[in-house]
Amino acid sequence: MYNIIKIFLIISCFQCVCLAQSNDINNRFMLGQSYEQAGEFEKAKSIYLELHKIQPDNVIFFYGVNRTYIALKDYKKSISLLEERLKVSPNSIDLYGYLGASYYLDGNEKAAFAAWDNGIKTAPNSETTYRAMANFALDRRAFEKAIDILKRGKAISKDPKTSSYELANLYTLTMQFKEAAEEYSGILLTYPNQLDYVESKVFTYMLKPEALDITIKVFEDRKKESVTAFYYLLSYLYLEQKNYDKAFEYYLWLDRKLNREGAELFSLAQRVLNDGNDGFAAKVFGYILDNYPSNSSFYSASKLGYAKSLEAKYEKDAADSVHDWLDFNVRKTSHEGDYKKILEIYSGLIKLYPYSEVGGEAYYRIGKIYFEKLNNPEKAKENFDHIIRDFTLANFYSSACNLMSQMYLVKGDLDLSLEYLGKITSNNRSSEDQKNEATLNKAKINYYKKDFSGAKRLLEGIMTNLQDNSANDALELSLLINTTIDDSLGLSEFASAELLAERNLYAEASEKFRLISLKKQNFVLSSLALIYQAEIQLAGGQYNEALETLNKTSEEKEPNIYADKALYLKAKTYQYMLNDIPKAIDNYQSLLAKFPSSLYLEDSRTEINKLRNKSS
Amino acid sequence: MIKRLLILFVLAAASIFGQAKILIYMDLNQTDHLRAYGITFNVLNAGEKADWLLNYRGGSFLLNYSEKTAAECRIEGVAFQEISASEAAQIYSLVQSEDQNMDVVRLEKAPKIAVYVPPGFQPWDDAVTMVLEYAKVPYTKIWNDEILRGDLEKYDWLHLHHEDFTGQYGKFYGSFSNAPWYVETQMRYEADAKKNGYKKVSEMMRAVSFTIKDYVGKGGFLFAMCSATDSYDIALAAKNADICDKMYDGDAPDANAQSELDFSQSLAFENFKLEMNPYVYEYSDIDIQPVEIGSQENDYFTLFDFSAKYDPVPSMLTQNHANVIKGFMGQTTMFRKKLIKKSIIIMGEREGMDQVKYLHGNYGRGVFTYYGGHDPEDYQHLVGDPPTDLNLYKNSPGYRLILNNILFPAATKKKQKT
Repeated sequence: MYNIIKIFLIISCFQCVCLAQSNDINNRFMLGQSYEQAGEFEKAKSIYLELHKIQPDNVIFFYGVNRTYIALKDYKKSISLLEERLKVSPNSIDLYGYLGASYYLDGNEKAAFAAWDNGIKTAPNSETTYRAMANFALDRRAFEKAIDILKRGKAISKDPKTSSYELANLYTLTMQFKEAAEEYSGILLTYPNQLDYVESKVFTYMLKPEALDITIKVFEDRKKESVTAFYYLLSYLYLEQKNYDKAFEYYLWLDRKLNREGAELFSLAQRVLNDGNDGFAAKVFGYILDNYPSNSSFYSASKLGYAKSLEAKYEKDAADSVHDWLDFNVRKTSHEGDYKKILEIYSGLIKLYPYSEVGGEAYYRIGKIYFEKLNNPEKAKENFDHIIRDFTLANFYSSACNLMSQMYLVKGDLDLSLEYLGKITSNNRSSEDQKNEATLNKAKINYYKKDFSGAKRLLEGIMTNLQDNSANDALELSLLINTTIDDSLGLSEFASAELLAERNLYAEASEKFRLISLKKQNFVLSSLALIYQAEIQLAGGQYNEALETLNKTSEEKEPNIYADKALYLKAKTYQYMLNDIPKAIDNYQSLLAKFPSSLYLEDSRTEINKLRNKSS
Repeated sequence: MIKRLLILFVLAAASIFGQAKILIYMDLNQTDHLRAYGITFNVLNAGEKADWLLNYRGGSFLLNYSEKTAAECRIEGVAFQEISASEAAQIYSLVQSEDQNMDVVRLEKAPKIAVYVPPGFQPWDDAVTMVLEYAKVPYTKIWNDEILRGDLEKYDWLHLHHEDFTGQYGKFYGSFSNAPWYVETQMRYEADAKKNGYKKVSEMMRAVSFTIKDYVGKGGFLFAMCSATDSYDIALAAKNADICDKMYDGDAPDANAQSELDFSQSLAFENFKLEMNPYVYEYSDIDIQPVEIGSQENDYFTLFDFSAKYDPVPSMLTQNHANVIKGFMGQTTMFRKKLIKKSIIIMGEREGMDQVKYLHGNYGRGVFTYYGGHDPEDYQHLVGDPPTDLNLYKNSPGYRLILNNILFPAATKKKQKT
């Protein structure tokens, strides 16, 4: 019994000693870690070395020693430490990796590469080994070696996808876009379902110089008809390249190959429309309408898309020929044939959805086309009447009223024009901008009706809000009325001439402005009349006559308040109408020299710089 | 008495034989201060001479009259006054009189300007290139390859902006180490280093830094802004020390990096302490921290008033129509005064504080100017922020300080020693 107690006591004591020793080792290790974190590597090293001596098999202590050697740039010791360890564990991949890293840090690239290659030899048939070694190379920024290792790993792999992605990533980083594209195309060949991921990866570097062209070439060279993923990716790449025809070719090929009955083309058209290429979108929508059956699910959506994109295209084309620096632009009437298809589509939509928002919008668009493009106010009125009668709560109600008002103004029926403006200002759903524009137009009509006091009253309401888009025009009209009201007869004449111009009766308006310009007693009205006469001449294509008219103002001996505008218009005429750049620059420069406070200063400077850059 | 007679004689002679002049006044009446520098620079570039009237109406320029120059001023929106030869003579007389703190500096030749920027760089990310573009001052972009092959001797003036000369990639590691632009930047630098025969980026940047220092020593003009100021000086001081952590150059920094700094190598700063934590967006204690600056409303710096006749160099560099200028931040915003070497001339500081914005010094036969902050009209420019539209800041006093530096080399007749 006594012996048993004695043995028990001895074991207990031994356990206590072991526990105490173990606690001591842990405490010392934690102290070493603290030193390491604080950057006191010498102190950390001596602790780790001591612990490593006590427990040579403990990998934590071993790697602690190695870390401090590296931190202290004692690479030679790190190398011998690792090599000693390798004698004990010759199959440790990590040891080879770290050994290579230490050699690399020591400047011995050859030995580093040999160490990593030796690491691979420990398990040469496992792709993981290669990837692990490549990671060690990557940590040292040895990209070419990492690529070499990954390529070898890929070669022995049964599923090389992961290595391929890693390789492609490395090629991208090192700007080797051809090689990256080759990897991605290899992935697509074997795994077509990876298209989305490959696309996302490829598009991360498409903005780099030359990347897009190189990538397209590689995919073109390697595409196979059996792998549609290539065609999808190529069509996206061509869209990125803005090569819409080629993109269309591939979408069409996909659509036919997969029997998608226009669905692929529809997605292309929408994508292009979102990019703002209305013309091409219209072409694709048009192709769908011409070549696919009308019972397909996206047919009506294609119809609407076609009409909208075509309309937007025509609008853009027309905007190119409009000179926004002129107060008067002669509206060109388009050919009905251009809009035939659009009108048919909108009419079809009305038949399908007569009382819905879509149908209402179709009425509005048809009316707008007849009024603004085809100069057919009667047809326009028919369509606007539908809106004003049946769609009072629709968004485009106020817009339709505005166009009706304009239409009656052109006809010369000022009262009806006012009535429609009243519908806008009294409509709670009209925006502030719409209401202010309508009020400005009301003021103008009062001015045309020679009710100058009424016009002024209305203008005051708009001028108080200088943020409003109509405030500038209101200020201008108010200034004209206030400065010339003493000659109310002259102002009345001037208002009549302006009304003629508003009604597109340009010949009569021009003659009236000419007559007003002869009455020099009211110099403001006579000077402005000359400017307006010149603008009407410009709008009518009489450029030389317009220049002569403008010369009367710009070359007057007595300073004329519109002389700067005359010079500005001359410069614009030379620039845009006659394409005489030197004369345009001369006139802009003359404006800068003679009128240093002119409103047209900034624009003249901008235009000079633009023209200089163009001619240089 | 004789002096007065002489002045009268000069005035009389000037009015009879002299040429009309264009006075580009630079006081508050000027409509576009920044383009005024461009006009003057391009007049010099065309082989003409110009006079810089220090402290006269905000540091005005007097150019020979020509229709072309007058037209250019109008096109660029630069206000000017056409004056007769006798009026010009009166101005010269006033400016040179002993009782005025003014002087005339003859500008003789437009300096050749180089801007140190990486390939593919866009001008709108750097205040200097932005204002050079705006003022239409021609410049050449150079990078490490050009500097290391000795191209600096082709230029009179070199600008460094927010590049990092220490090899720590701007110390953006903590916030942006995974951002594509950061990865790409590191790759580009590494490829550059390899191409130029350096094992590490920090070694290449050190070589670049000392080549630049050598260029200044031989008579070059160096203008640095933002983090190029302190990072450049740190790179010089770290001639014998590895201060880069492993995420930058693959190996650990020297354990005694701080004590290995050699402050005799740096141009402007000394006794600074390195910030070696890679997660801290700062190089050292040279830079003033936002918390020390306080609120934006109170962040202004004051320009010193130098004697135009006796201190023409700092006087030129501080010509302005305002002497209290609103502050602006950058990776390096301002410099801690106590860490600036005694030989340095402080030209702009926050009054009553330890915060210096604008300084100037000599090294060898050349000079250098450091200007803290990133963009004088964008208080806190962040990565990815849109560029400043200088059309909205034509009269920016902060930007004027940059442009003073490009005209300043034109005032000297020094030749580059190669």
